Amino acid sequence: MDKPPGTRKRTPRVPASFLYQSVVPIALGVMLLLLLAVIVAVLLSLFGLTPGYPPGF
Amino acid sequence: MDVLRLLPFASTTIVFVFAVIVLSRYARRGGLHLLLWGIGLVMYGLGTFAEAYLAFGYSPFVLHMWYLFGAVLTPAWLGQGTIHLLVRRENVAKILLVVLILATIFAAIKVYSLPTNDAAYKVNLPVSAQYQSVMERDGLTRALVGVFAGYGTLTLVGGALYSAYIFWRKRIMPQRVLGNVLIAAGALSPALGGTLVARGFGDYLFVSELIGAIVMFVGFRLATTQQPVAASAAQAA
Repeated sequence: MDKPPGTRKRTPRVPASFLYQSVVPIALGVMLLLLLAVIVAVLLSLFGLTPGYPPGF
Repeated sequence: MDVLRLLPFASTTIVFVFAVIVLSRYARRGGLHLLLWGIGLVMYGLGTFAEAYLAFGYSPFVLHMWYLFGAVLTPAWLGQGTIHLLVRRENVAKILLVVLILATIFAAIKVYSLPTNDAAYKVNLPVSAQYQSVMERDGLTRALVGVFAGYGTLTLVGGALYSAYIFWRKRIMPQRVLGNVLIAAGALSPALGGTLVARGFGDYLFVSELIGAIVMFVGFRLATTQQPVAASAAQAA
């Protein structure tokens, strides 16, 4: 079906929310730190500084 | 019976259901990233299935299968799906895929050629607690695990975090933000479980795999939920 002229679809924006704006970046930051920790563990094992990296999945 | 030994069965069931959903979506809509995620999930399921088998019996073939899929291949193939979703330069993604396929063949040959001390295997112990004494791994094998695991974790978790950040910054599609956060958390779970095992902090691998499977599944369902789209009338200039 043709859209009426001047009408367009747009993705709705999330309403301004202190909780959403503050909790999400904290969660992302924590997981980024955990990711870095895993990568460091992998690198250390690659360079033989720790025991071999174990099965992870 | 130790409940812990049953966890890999639950993980296997969840992961194979997850794989069927992802591959069905690929069959309907296409998208190489979905196919690669589906392959990665089948590998995840084969790894946890091998773990379940090894909790009740022993076979060197299954032990090699557990190591190949559980330790080496799964995160890298899941991460390759994310690469195909996020990297806009198609050639880069394709070259990485070819490298991954060749490395996978090499890893399979290498892992299945590792000698095992079958008499040392104890069925009453988790495989993750004793594989080091049963399977004689050389330096190249350990390096392979590190490279595959590092590449997979970085691309899968990093890609999910990046996607979540983009949607959050644009303040659109909150389901995708939450879905990607959960995918990242689910992918981190077995990676952290494995890291803790290696450092002697207890055997959380079975639990971490189950948590990872559930959380990634929920995250994927959230991220792929149809988003409501509002039609708004824009005033013509």
